[in-house]
Amino acid sequence: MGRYIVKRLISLVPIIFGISVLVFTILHLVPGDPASIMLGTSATPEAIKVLRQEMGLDLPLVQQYLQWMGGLLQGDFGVSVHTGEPILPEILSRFSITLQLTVLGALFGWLFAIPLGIISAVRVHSSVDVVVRLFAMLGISVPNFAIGTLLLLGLSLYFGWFPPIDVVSFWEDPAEAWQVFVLPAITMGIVLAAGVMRMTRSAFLETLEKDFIRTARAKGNNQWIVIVGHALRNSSIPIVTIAGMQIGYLLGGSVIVEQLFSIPGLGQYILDGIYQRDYPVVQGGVLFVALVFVLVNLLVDVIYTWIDPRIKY
Amino acid sequence: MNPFTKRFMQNKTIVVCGIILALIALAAMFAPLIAPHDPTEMFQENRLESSSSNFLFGTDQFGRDLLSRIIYGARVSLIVGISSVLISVVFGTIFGLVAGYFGRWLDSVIMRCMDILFAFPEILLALAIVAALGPGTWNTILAIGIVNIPIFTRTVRGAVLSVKNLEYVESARAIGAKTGRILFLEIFPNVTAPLLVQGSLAISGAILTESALSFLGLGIQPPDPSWGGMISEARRYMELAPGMIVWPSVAMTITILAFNLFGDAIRDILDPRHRGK
Amino acid sequence: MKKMTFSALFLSMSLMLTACSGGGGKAGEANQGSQAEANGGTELIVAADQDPVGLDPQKVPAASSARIYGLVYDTLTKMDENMKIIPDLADSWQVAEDGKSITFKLHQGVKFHNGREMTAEDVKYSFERILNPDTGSVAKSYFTSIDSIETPDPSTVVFKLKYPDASILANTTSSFAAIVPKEVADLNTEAVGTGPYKLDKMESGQYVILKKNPDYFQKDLPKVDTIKFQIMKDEAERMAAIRAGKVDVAQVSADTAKILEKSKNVTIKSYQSSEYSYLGINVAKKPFDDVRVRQAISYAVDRNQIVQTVWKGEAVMSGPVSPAQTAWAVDPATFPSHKLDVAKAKQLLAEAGYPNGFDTVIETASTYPDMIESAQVLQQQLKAIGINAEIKQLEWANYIETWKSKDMTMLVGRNTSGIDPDRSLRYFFATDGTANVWNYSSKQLDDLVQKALQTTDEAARKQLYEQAQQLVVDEAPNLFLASPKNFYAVSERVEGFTPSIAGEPYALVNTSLKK
Repeated sequence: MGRYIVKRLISLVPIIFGISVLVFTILHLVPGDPASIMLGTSATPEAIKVLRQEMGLDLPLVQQYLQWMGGLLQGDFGVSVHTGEPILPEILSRFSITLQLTVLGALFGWLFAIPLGIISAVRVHSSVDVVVRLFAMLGISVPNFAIGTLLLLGLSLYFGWFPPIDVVSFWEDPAEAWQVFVLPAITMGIVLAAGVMRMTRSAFLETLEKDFIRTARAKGNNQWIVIVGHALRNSSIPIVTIAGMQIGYLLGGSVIVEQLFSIPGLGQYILDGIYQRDYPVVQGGVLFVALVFVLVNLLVDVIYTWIDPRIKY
Repeated sequence: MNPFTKRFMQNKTIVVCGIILALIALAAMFAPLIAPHDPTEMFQENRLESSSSNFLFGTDQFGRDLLSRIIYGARVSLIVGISSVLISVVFGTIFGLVAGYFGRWLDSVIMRCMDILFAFPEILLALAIVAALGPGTWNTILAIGIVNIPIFTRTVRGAVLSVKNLEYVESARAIGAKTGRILFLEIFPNVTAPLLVQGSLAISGAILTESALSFLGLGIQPPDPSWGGMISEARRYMELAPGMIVWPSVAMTITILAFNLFGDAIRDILDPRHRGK
Repeated sequence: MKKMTFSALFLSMSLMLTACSGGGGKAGEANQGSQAEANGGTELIVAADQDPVGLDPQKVPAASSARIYGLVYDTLTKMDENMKIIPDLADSWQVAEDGKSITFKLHQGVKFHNGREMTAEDVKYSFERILNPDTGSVAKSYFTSIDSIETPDPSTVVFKLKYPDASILANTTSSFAAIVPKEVADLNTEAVGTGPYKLDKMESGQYVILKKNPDYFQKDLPKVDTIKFQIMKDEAERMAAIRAGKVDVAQVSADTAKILEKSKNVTIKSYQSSEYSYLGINVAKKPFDDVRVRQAISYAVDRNQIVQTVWKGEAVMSGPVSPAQTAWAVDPATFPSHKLDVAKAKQLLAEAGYPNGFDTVIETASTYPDMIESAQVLQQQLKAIGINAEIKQLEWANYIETWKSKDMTMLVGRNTSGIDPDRSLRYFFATDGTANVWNYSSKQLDDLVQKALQTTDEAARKQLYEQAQQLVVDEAPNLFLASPKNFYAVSERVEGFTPSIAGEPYALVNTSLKK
């Protein structure tokens, strides 16, 4: 097990390296220049030139990449060309916000989706099944920015309610943080729910057909005890797989929800970075998200062995 | 009717969804004949109106007919959905076949590249590609297509691995069939089922990704109507003219729903033992 | 009917959500009890649509920055709501007979936020910094006429000019011409001014907090203890927030203003801005190098439809000098090519050799809905004369790059016409104008604006600028479309916030909160 983890970790090195090259290349292919953006349309050419020098953008690309990589290897993500602030602390603090949003969003999605998925599987092809499936799919059929906008406008119009404008984390003030995150988390959760629901349903359908469940059911055991006792554990691998993928996906895909609700998370940090051509920010941010993504996947694989001890690596 | 087709036809979901999708496709194809107005024509005197006999679904902020825009929007959204998935399917299949069949270093190189693409946050990657290529329908399609390549590569590779050592492939190899022949005639037919399933799901994903890009201002260029673009534009008028957001959302929901249910149903038929994979 | 649809939409959504979340958030009461208020101070919350991109007033012209440093720094003079130049740091000024020097008398006892007294030396330093090419100041072109700056005593500053400059006084009101202290090296990270507010805290992507400067030199100002700029990028979010009473002041679009008017705890305030939207034309590119093609486009454009559709009627037609600059602007209705005349447009196109029109491109920024909408209306109108334009929405960075490249085709944008007609005309259209990216060059215009700049007689100057405006409209390197009103949504607890052309900082300083 330990050896497996170490091996997996080593295999991450080329991936991370590849991502660094990819993000650097794409970013520099995108037209636009941070100095001009900062100075806007009224800027003089001199002003732009001065600022470009200050930002270190006058160096050749390869040199810029090597400098960035060199710093990275020493744990230095560099500074934002825009604000001059170091990037890593900003990434970490924003990651903490995105993480809270993501986890809460995922919890909403799962709390809703897993039970419904189970019901749907147990009563397969019944009207309950059909309704539940349709309902879940509605969630992935409407763009989440439309859902989020509707929630914001509706709540403010009919209840005069709006989330607290200062974003606080759960470890500072849980009650306040709950109010901050509830809407964006629901908006995210709706999208997740559909995927998890489908996965739960099909995993359960498969398990329920297995002999030992049939035996248990035939023995006249209470059906729900059978389901909870045997089927859940047996169905959890695909559910964990998709859940893990979703968490990883959400960390990078929370951009839209963060943008809509002005949540200063990692997604928005990177998005702003793209808009402002703040190269080190985007490079560092994407690299970080990718790293988390692959680590979450590794964690999922490790969880497999815990769920099903028969799996050995 | 062979038994396979029969099973298709007996499945109510497939039939219903198939009909819906066919209708949408027909509407898209014959949009100029069906649509009551030119989707870009602005009726200055009729801005932000609700339904009337002339404008069945009402009008938008320019006084353009929403119904016509939704019909033409079907065209744009389907083109984006289907073309981008085709790109992913073609490249995903090639990479997946090669990686799965040849294995070894080719496999590792291809799969590591896919891991790299896969770990890149989806929306941000699409956004960066569109920003680099410049906005426009084909660039949007390309961006969404590239983003989805890894999923298809994995799907195909998995399918290849499961059949490549089966007897009939071995025997084809034994009688000296060319590699290309084995790949495309013996192995490829076995990956069509998962491709079909994955593809129908990816189309709806692509339509949604386009809407997200529209939200960020880099989707299909106006005045061409895409449903996602219409929804994101309509956000500003949600309270003044709710119809602007409702109708394209309904159109989008029906289409995505149909694609998803269709995909699920095919999966159930083709591979009843593995509903979950 | 519309309201019902929206409610139905919302209700069905909420039902779906209650099913999945068990009720969502409690509808708590609007809560203004922020920390500052708990400490007994008053706090005004302003919704800002963008993060400031830097705080050096002389270097960073972005509006998101200017609204903040405009409160932190002072200028020699400022402009009131009637566009009259009034004293700020300078109590009075005297222009010499020959127009070649200006003497400013500074207000005494003004202190920077670091406690040091502001003197004539700081003024000299500030303007020399602006003029130094290494600074790259945006205001440099405003003060090119300055030859030298003298400081006979700590409260007197004399600008010696190379030639009489009629616009220089108006230019000293610009917030880019802020007086900065010489001891601060990096003004982007440190903000030390003499202004009514001090920079207290800045959290990128979240907020900027300004605290009242207790030593501000103008008596009884400012009135509010803390101003917090809350970054909210989405217009719908700003609208929801002000409706729920979470923010006090927000700049909004005409659409949003219309919706919010119905809300009883929000008032809408507006003023005629000096901005105008335009269609810029690259005169170096075929077929636009032919003035008849540009004129044809101008005749084909129905500016009234743009006013009605894009700005919901809340805008006026504009020429190169916006109508808000009442003293200088030529009535836009009198420009012949501002009237819709498709037949004439077609005739001009035919004369130029394009009887059937041509295909082209309209570039615009994806960031601003009004620009995208203007582009769509223009595209539709140009169809009538056979010009098929493809719209390219560029994301902001790309847009600026295109704008700068001088290689655009036709580009929709928005300009601030400024206070003085010199900016409106020379800056945007003279051959060497900083913002003349259209490859437009007219000896006649260059002469007119240079002559006007050196003319101190107001009537004569006005006449020169009128000729210049006619010329620019006639040659049409840009099509001037509409000058919109700016809208602010203001919560009921705010008093005395009167937005005007004098700018947001000017209005905020005089704002107070109801007890």
